[in-house]
Amino acid sequence: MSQPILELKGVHTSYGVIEVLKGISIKVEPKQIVTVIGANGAGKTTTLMTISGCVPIQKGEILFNGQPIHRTPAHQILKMGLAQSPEGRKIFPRLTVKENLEMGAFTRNDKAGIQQDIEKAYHLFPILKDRQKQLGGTLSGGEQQMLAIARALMSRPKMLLLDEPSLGLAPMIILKIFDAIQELNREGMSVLLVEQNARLALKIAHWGYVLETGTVTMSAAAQELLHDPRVQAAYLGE
Amino acid sequence: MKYFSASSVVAVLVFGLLFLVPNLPLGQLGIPSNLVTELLILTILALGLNVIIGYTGLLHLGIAGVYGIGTVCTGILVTEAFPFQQSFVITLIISTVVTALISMAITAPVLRLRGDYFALVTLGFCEIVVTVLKEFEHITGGKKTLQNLRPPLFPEFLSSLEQSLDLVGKWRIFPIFYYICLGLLLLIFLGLRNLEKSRIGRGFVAIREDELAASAMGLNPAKLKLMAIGIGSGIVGLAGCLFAVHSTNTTEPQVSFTFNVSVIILASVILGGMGSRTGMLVGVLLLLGYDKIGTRLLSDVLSQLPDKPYFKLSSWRYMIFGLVLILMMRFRPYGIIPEKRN
Amino acid sequence: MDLCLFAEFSFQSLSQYVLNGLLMGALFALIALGYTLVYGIIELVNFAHGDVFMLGCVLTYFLCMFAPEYPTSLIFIPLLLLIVPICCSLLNITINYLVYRPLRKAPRLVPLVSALGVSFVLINVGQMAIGTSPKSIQAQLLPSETNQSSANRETENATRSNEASEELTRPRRSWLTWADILLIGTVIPAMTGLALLVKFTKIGKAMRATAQNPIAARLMGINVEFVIALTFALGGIFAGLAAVVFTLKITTIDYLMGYKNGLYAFTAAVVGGVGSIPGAVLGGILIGLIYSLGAVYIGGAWVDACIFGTLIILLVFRPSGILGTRVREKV
Repeated sequence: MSQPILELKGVHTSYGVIEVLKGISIKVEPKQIVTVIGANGAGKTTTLMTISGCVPIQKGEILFNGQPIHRTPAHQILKMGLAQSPEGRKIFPRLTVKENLEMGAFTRNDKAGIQQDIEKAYHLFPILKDRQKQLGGTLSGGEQQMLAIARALMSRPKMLLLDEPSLGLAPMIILKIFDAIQELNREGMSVLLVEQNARLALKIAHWGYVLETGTVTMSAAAQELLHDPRVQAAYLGE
Repeated sequence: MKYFSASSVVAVLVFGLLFLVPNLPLGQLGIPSNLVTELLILTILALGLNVIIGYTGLLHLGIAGVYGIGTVCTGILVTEAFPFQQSFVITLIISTVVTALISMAITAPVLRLRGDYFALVTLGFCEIVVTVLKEFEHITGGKKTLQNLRPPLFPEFLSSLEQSLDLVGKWRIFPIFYYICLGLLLLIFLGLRNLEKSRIGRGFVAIREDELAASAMGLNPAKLKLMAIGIGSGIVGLAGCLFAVHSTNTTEPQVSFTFNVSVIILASVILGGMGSRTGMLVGVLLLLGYDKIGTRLLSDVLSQLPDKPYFKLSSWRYMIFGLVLILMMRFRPYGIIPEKRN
Repeated sequence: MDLCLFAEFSFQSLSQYVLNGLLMGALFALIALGYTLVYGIIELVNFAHGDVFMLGCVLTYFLCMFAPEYPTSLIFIPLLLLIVPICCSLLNITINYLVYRPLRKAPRLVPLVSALGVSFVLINVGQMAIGTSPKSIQAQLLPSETNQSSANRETENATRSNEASEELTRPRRSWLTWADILLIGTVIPAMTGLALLVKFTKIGKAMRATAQNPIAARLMGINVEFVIALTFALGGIFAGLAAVVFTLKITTIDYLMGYKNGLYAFTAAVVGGVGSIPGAVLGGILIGLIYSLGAVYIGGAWVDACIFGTLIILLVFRPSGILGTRVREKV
């Protein structure tokens, strides 16, 4: 078996004196969708922020394609091929849709390639093309989420980190977005998906982790988790 | 037992030392006695600022303006140019209250502002107060200052007491005035200690740590903040009164009550660590003591060196205060970062 | 027509005052840009900025001691416009690196107090350099007009540079001095350059992105610390340009001029909308007009109070200023 594309080993992260991640270990195999589910405050966003280098790690290791990245600054981690669509989308509100996408390609210099990728983004999410000259802040929640994902794709990453893409969105839009995620995965993109909507996440994922107050309490194939009574009770509302 | 905590011991020591100061051969040491008294007055001023910053978490950059209000208020009540001509005791009380009220009135509308905006607004207030004090000469004396502030200690009906205690005229000068200031400092210090232990005091801590949680608990942050401003400004006004009587005239507003002075007092408060009364006491005495007295002592030593500006201690004044601020913020910002305090 | 009590009303002098106001406003705008750029990106009121400007003036003063007289000075002036902004820029970058950068994660008040400290340190440096009394540049770098040199001499006798406002109120025989033309010739390209940089270049867009959402900017591969350093560098350049032009125009400097002018400029930034570049320009012009017209019509002493009053009213009622910027998206 080839090495995992992303691996966290015993990662501890703190905010000030409060320890948020208490030694978590997660693996994503290439071309997999792996999901981390858990309640609010479990540490899901912190996990992604630690991977992306926005939050410093206290103990442990993070390996991307075998390379340690836990001491690498955030802007370099992106260059290595790890992009994130963050919690709350974090669109640039006073840049246009097109400019937001261009920002996603900030580390690239090939104008022609960037234009191509912008067209691909419009193909994936056609509404973005309609809105391309509009300011990011004027978009609806669903459109912003699409923009956030498209923007993350602009750096031609090898792996995508998605932080709660379903949050606050109407079911129709959520389905569209999750369809897009699956399509990207079919084309070979590895995905680490952090979600509160456990059912949807487990439906499209290959593997799942359950995160509770900073520790991984379960790790299994997504289908297993979907049918596990404990998971069903806690996260699937049954 | 908490009663004998480290800070209590230090406080007792400090006050003990201060009590003994007039017995030192100040003249021989080359320390003018009025500087020592001035140091006490500035300590009271700093204590007032400490109340405001420590209890509200708000950065008040205009404290020198409040000081000026207190000073001029005293001047108006005492000077011969006006018909008031009150005694010291009455003036002290009135100045304290009036300063507190004026400061509360001016500051109330801006209390809800964010920290940095509030700081800027108080800065602006300071400048406006200085301009007002400068320009309304017929009331405040302006640049010419209100002169000859030599009130009696007690009001008229007690003047015989003043005479029998042989205090006439003497109370205003060293060492009696020094002891009066020291006594007031001690009173205020103990008063604040009791305040902090009371329910109101704990309310102050609550709003500084987390305003939202505090209002959820039923506290009224706006009211508490206003109270803190009132108490702090009152103390500052009291210091202003002492300053006016000690100098026998109000001083030029654009010299003594400017933003620079605010920052200097702020630096001394920060050095000691805000919220800690004893720490602040030590910090103020150290920094301002150095600034007023230490420089004098050292400059005698340094006068051996060639007459270049960088060999004169007074040339480094701003830099020292500036570095105190920078270094404290970098390495020990406690007091401004409430959560780091236990 | 009874417009005011303090000065004789004449249309010519009014338009002169307005013109002076616009010119001073352009200067304030230059300095205001430094405040607004830094605030926009790290939400810090950089108290030290005005004093960087002051040190730029001090440097200009010292360099002018080696200046040749007009017309050879025409080569010297571009040199000034090159050296001083670069020095101010380096100073700003250094301050950011040493003082503000370690405090990136601290609560807002901590770097604010540090900025106060830096301001004091810089004031001390200025005081060491030129002493406590105002200094005037002696060299005639620009073609002298009779008005200009007599104004110079009288300014030398003035005790503080506040009194330079009196110089502004003195009716001039000519509308624009050469110093004013230099001012216009510097300010307009500088601001245009900044506008183009920010709107069209990649790094300019990175600056805007970082100001709008620094976390997202990091995730785009933008080196946020580099962008912040660049912002400080730009602020320093504008402070330096303002310093050269100001010193050549007013010709008197003193070690506390950074504080006053800095606050005027910051007020200008707030008026226009702190964080907004066109706002800084608009605000600068408005404050310049208040400064100039106020000095004449309500008396120099109250101009300060007026401008600070404006600052307070704005911060209380409309902190986003005229060309309001939205509050940064909460993390």
